[in-house]
Amino acid sequence: MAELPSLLAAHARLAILSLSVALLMALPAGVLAHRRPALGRVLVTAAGVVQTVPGLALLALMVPLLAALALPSIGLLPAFLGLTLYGVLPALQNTVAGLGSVDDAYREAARGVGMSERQMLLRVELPLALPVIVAGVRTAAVWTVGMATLSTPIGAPSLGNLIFAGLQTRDLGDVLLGCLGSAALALLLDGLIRGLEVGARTRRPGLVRGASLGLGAFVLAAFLPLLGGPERAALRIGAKTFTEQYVLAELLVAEAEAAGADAEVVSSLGSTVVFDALASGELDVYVDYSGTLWATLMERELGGATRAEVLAGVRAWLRETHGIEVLAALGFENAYAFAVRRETAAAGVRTLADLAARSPRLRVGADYELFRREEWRAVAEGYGFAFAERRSMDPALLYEALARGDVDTIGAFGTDGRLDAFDLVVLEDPRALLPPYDALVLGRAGLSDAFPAVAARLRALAGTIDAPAMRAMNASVDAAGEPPRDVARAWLAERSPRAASAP
Amino acid sequence: MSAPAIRLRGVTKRYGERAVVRDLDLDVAPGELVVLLGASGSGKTTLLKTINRLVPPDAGRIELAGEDVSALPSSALRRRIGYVFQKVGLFPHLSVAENVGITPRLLGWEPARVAARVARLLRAMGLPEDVADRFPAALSGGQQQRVGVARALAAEPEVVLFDEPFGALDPVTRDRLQALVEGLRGTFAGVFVTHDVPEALRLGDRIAVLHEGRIVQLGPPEELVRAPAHAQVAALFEAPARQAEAFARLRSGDG
Repeated sequence: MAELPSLLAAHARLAILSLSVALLMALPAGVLAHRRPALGRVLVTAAGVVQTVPGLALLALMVPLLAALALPSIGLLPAFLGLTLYGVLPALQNTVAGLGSVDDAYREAARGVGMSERQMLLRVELPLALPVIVAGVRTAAVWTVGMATLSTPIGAPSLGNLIFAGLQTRDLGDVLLGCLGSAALALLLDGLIRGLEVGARTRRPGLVRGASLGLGAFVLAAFLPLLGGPERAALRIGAKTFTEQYVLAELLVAEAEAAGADAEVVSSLGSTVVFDALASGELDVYVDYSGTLWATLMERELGGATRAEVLAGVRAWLRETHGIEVLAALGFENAYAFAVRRETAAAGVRTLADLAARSPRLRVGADYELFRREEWRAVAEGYGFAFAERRSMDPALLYEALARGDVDTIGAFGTDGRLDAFDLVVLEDPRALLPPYDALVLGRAGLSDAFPAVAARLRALAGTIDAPAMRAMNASVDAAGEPPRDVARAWLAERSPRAASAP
Repeated sequence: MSAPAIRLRGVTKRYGERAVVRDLDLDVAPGELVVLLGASGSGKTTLLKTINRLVPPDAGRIELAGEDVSALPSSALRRRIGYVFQKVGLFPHLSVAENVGITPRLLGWEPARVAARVARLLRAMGLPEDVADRFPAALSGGQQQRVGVARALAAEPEVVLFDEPFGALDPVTRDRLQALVEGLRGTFAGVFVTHDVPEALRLGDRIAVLHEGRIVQLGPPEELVRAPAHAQVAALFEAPARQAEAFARLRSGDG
């Protein structure tokens, strides 16, 4: 709630910047496209192709693209670029259509009274095309504001922060707040642009002045917070898009602050985005899991390696390839695990081998990632899975879907508080095909030199959180609805007497 | 003797293989109004548009007051020539006063001079004062074309071109606008395109009858009526003559 004003402003800033640049590109391109139809078809097609890329994917694609160009790859820049590209099409298309709709009789009249081609464009063609062009601008404005919520996973704060985090932590109030905020911004911007156009067209100076003042105030309100000084804290701590990550990020912030550093959470990042950001130094710290790094980034064979071997391998690989330090293994694993309802377990499904035997009659659900990950391939081939149906869904919905019977088994996270809350049973992996998933605090290259006190404090977290503790913290958020920040600080407060007494 | 206001020599315009205007000569004296009369497709509108280069000619020479204008930029040329459009062509997003004042503003006149000129013209066109701030859509067809004539005259051109300006108006309105043009006679050299024979007879100091891109006869109205030099010319006058006779019979009660 407290962050609503700053998220609104950040959201509006992002939308205003992207929309402005999109229009600066689209309007001249539209004029050019109208003048030279062959080129116009190329431009409109290109903008149309961009539009066919789903919004979230377009924004996410900017991350590796910028990283390859050695530019800041998370945060404002990729979000700005993605949104800008997205906003071009409606404005471009409507500029072309608007100019095309101008009756040639007016062009002949414009030439006949002695206008040059440029004067004709500015004084006749554009004014006559204005209503159609403005309709495109308004569409672009509404799309851009709406899509700006998707910039959260690539590290640009927006109202999406409320939506993504709210979905994960089952805080529907936050989700609603994010949606309503975004809708209100979109309607406001749309209304102001429309007011400006109607005022200009019908020559109502009062309306033009009102709409201009409104737009000015909108921009001012969005950018004014920047004058308050740099928003960026000294340390940026990343979190992926699930509850445990929010809790741990808050915990790390609290520890960094205790070590005297100013720190902030950059939350709801995509899982490869967050690693790339750490590798490029845009994030300072986040928590990842040994098995994820082992399977996804190192592309190592699954099965056979012990927990210690995986941990050692990951530690060495991170240091050698990215200079990243494993500051601490927190002490628990959050493994991918397959869970079933208690009655399924009672019917004799205890292991992944049992599950495979019955899989042709069963439906499996998982988050967006699992079916594409090495871990899935390993267990599916290793045990011979042949499920009747696979369903990908948001992790926030997964446990409930299993409990309700929408699916028969899910790819779950071993420390998720909802396993207990919904009375679910985790299946054994007798062939140890799923790798160990030690939760590791990762620090960017050079962190311990720049912030020795913080690094020392985070190293001291090694082995302090066991699986039941983590599961309890997750449940406090998911089931009891407590904010991750409070849960993290409560845990630290409870621990501190012991920590203080430690040598 | 002073040079003609407009002199065309060997003007030719082709669309593909088809020549619409063929090697055509025409002189218009200062203050004279020449009507281009002919059936649809005779080339009269194309010829008119070659004069201000709305249609660039493929060959030939165009002089205004003895000056070869081929080197002038099109926009500069057109600012010297008034033009009354067939489809009126008033800009719907500009007020009446702004429409009339366009060419003077393009020429860089002082705003006060433009305003005075616009007010005088609207009065001269018989338009009520309050039309100045209205938009063209709020005017009747006849009022719109009065504004169109005012716009053509705004920059005090020596040459004014009329492209079938009254074709879409009802007979009464048309009569009034013809009277308006008659009243302006002598203040500019004009070329007036029409296919309406009575209109040509009423307004033309001379009439040029066009057929297949050539002038088949050029002379004062009475000469054309009395001594048509070409079958096309005679054919043009037959229908209106029959109508006039029928009208006269009805009026005298001999019918």
